[in-house]
Amino acid sequence: MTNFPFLFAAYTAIWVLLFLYIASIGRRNHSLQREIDELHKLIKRHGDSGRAQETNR
Amino acid sequence: MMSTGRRLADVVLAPLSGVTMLLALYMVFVYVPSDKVQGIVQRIFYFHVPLAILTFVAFGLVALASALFLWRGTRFWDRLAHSAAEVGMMFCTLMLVTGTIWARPIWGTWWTWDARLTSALILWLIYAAYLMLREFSATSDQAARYAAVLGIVGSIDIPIINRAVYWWRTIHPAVLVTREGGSGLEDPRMQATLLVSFLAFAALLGWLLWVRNESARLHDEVEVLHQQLLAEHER
Repeated sequence: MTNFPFLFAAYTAIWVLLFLYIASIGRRNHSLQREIDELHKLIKRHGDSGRAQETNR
Repeated sequence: MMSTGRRLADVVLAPLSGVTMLLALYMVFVYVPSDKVQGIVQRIFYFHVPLAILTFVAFGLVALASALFLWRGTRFWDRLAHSAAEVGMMFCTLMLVTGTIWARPIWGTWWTWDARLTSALILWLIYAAYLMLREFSATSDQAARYAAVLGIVGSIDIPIINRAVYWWRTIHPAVLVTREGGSGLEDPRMQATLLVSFLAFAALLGWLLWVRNESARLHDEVEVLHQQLLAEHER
């Protein structure tokens, strides 16, 4: 049982690193999805204002 | 509506990985007997060995997807290669970390320049270079082509790591193959534990690959939308 801290350290390292990696991918995907939604809104707004200008001419 | 890939990842792979991982932890800490020679610290092997095998699978996938990207030129293969390289790096890092923690009580040192350890560290460095190349290259097309070549060349190290214990004098155990020194996984409970751990990490690898690939797909979509917005501005 004297080597228990090594066993504990190995399994802790696995879970901590995996958790940090999964959290970082999750954050990345979330921020990319938000950017996509913003860009869709901007493109739609530009399209609408462009059409309005053409109608006014 | 959920796509088939998303359904496979979120409904099959993620729960499968979670359940088998809990079962593997129970088996590692409660069910499996301690090794007669190495004692309790040998239990690190039940996660270290699957991590090592799946590192090779991930980097092998980088080589395969890179070759298909160079041949077909489709973004799908490039995205898969990039995702597999990043997830493979994660698994390779965990393999090296758990290996050094096991080595300290067994060999009396955290690290030794043994053939297998050194070739495994070289593999980590090759794919670290791969990821840096992708990050710092001037254009994404150029980065993809250079990285594909590096991804293929880097995979040559995989069979070298595998054969290192036979080609050179090494202190790394080959317990799965030779069962030398009466310290192999001869007990059926040890074999079952290793199998369950392998299943847990295989499912985790599959799920992580899907999630990371989704990230690459979203990144591509952002680039396309930026170009579309620029075109709208110029109109």
